[in-house]
Amino acid sequence: MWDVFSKPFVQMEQVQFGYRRSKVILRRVSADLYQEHCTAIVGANGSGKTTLGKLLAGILKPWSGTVRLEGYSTTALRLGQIGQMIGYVFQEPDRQLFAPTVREELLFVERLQQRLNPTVEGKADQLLAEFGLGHVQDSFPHSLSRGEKQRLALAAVLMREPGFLILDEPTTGLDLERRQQLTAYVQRLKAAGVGLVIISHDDHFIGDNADRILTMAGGEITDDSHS
Amino acid sequence: MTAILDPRAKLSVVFCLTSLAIVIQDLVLFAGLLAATVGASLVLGGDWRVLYRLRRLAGLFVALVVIQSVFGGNGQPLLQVGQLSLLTVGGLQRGLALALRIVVIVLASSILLRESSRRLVQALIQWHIPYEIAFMVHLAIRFLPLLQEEMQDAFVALQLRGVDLQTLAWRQKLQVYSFLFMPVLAGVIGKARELSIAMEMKAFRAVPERTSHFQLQLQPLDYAVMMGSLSVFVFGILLVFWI
Ligand SMILES: Nc1ncnc2c1ncn2[C@@H]1O[C@H](COP(=O)(O)OP(=O)(O)OP(=O)(O)O)[C@@H](O)[C@H]1O
Ligand SMILES: [Mg+2]
Repeated sequence: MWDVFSKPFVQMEQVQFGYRRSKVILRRVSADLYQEHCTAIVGANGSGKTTLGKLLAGILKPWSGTVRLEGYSTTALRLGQIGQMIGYVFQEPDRQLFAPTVREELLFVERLQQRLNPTVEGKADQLLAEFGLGHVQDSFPHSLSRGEKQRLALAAVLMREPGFLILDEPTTGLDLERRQQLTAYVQRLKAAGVGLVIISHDDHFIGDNADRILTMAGGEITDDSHS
Repeated sequence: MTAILDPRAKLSVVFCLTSLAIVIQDLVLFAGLLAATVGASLVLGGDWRVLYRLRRLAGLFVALVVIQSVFGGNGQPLLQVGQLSLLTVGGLQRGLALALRIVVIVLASSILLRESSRRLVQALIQWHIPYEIAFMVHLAIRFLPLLQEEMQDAFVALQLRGVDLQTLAWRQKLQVYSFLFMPVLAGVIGKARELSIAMEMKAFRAVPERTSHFQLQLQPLDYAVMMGSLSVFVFGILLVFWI
């Protein structure tokens, strides 16, 4: 099968995790994720999808077991380094918008590190156009609509050109047209060789994009199917 | 015991312990106060985990002892490098007093954490504190953990964007904190707005006086505890001024 030919981008082995010592949320979860795939994670509310996503991205560290990104254990990586390999878009867009204007949201990290140049600005403007945010580029990010915030958060993460992207409920708050645009964008990312994980309840969106579906229930992966 | 005692009795215990912790300087008295606090939180169900969280302050504490020793310049030197006394008895005493003060205040306050916020608010109301203020206290207690989680997520998101705190200069680090402020503030304002609308819908301020079906009733034991903490407080103050 495909596993034989390519190395997994993310390797999870026997991962256990809980937020409080008394309550295990994930029990011995193992999975390999490949850059060639768009993997969907589905399951009921509270089944542990977001938790799994955060472990995959090294935001949470496992109690036991290992998560490896391109071979490196996430316990040994700093978040700044992880961000270079994996882009993560949170379920709540409010928590990841920092700048006073939409355009600045894409530029402030580079500005902070004094690396702002015309190439970077060009990339930002291109992303703004692609995500239909050009007309609001001088607005305050937190006054945007939910769908706009979601797109802005995604665009900001894409500024770093990560090789792997995790999207937590990316279609919440998007209208039909925006959802189709996101699908088109996901297809472009796939074509560009970016690996994707999409956590979603949106069957249509998953059906259009995913080629592998992991189903979660009660903190375990109960089904792993390919289409 | 935790559920039996009236929140007002608990409030008076906490008030007594924390205010003594602020007044007391003497280490022997502090030892006594610490013993009383530990006893109180054993009986009233304090949250010991808060002490574990304090470990992050350990470094700060050591720094304070050194600073007090170097610049306070009193007491017998215990550790000297050349002319500079890095550790003196006076510095150690003051540092220790500060650490004990923090431990007592935090541990004593944790007694209230275990109390339900509804009962606490009711206690404040029955002490004739305006309902609006009591309600704000209630909200603060409910929302603080949420805020903390929001802040953590924002911090993680910021770092994933490529802001690596370890490689940044001091001035830029400060800037990073100002960026963090934005999502947290936006979250707070958003929640406040939703909440105020919801409260208006429920006619929060339609009438000046509110009645509550739920009333707290002081029991003999509560009176005893309140009298007890009052006398400990008075006794402690007297001791402070005698010594
Ligand atoms: N910060 C936290 N502290 C404690 N428990 C948490 C925390 N975050 C999530 N949980 C718990 O972990 C479990 C899994 O939560 P998770 O957010 O991963 O579910 P989910 O599948 O993403 O749900 P949803 O579809 O609602 O997004 C839930 O029972 C939740 O209550
Ligand atoms: Mg979720």
